[in-house]
Amino acid sequence: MAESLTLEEVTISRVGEHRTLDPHESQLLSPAAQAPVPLDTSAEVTGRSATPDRLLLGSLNHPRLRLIRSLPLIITREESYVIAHMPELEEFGYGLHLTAAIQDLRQSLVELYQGLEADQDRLGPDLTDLWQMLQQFIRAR
Amino acid sequence: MDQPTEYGPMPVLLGMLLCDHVIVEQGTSKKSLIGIFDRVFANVFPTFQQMTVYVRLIDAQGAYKFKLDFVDIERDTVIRSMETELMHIADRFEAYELIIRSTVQLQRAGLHEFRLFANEAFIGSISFRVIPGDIASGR
Repeated sequence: MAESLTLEEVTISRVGEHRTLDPHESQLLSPAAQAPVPLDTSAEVTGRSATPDRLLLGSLNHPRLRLIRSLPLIITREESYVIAHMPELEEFGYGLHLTAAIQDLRQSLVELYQGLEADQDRLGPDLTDLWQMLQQFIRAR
Repeated sequence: MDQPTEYGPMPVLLGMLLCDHVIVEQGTSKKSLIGIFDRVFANVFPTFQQMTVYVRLIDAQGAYKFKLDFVDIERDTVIRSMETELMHIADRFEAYELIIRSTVQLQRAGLHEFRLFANEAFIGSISFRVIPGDIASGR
């Protein structure tokens, strides 16, 4: 028997400070809060590989840094390791599965950004080019 | 913007959790996450588990399609893929919550994962481990 996942409900809501049920304190309510709204969805049983050849990375998962556009990655498997390669910067991430490799790549990009940011006033020409290229993808929040 | 684009602002994942239920309080719409877990114990396979994925996002603005893949890591297989309709988010400074309730049939022990994509770009994941054992001592 194949594994499956049955979707029962998918909702989305806008978050807001909405802290009281007391109508006498309604001034504390923010109009931002929103009850969850059901979303139409489509679902399919795939059976496809969970390690695609290419992937768009959309998030650094970092409290201070964010991606301003998604980054195309090339994903390869070498023996028991998955490798996430970002060709634009020649950065790599390694892991036992896709998510681990992506997390390793994210960490490399964050460390590269923070290192170049700290030394940006004394970078040579090559590292200055790299710093400028990195700023095309990553910004502080 | 009518069509999702890979070059739109990428949402930032503030949190992604796996739990038994999300209770939405009537009137305030406040959410309570009940039974947050990261492992499932099962004596027999296949086993059915009801679970809810809670996602909180910010920095989204424009048109988005969200996709959630359910993955068996050890078999390297996407078991199921779900995609929302195209939706518009107006203000990137407002946080949004996605609540995805589902029943999962687990065929074997091992690491499993939900992967979240926005306009085809990977933005985050939440994993859980299925462990053979007494369900009473489990999640």
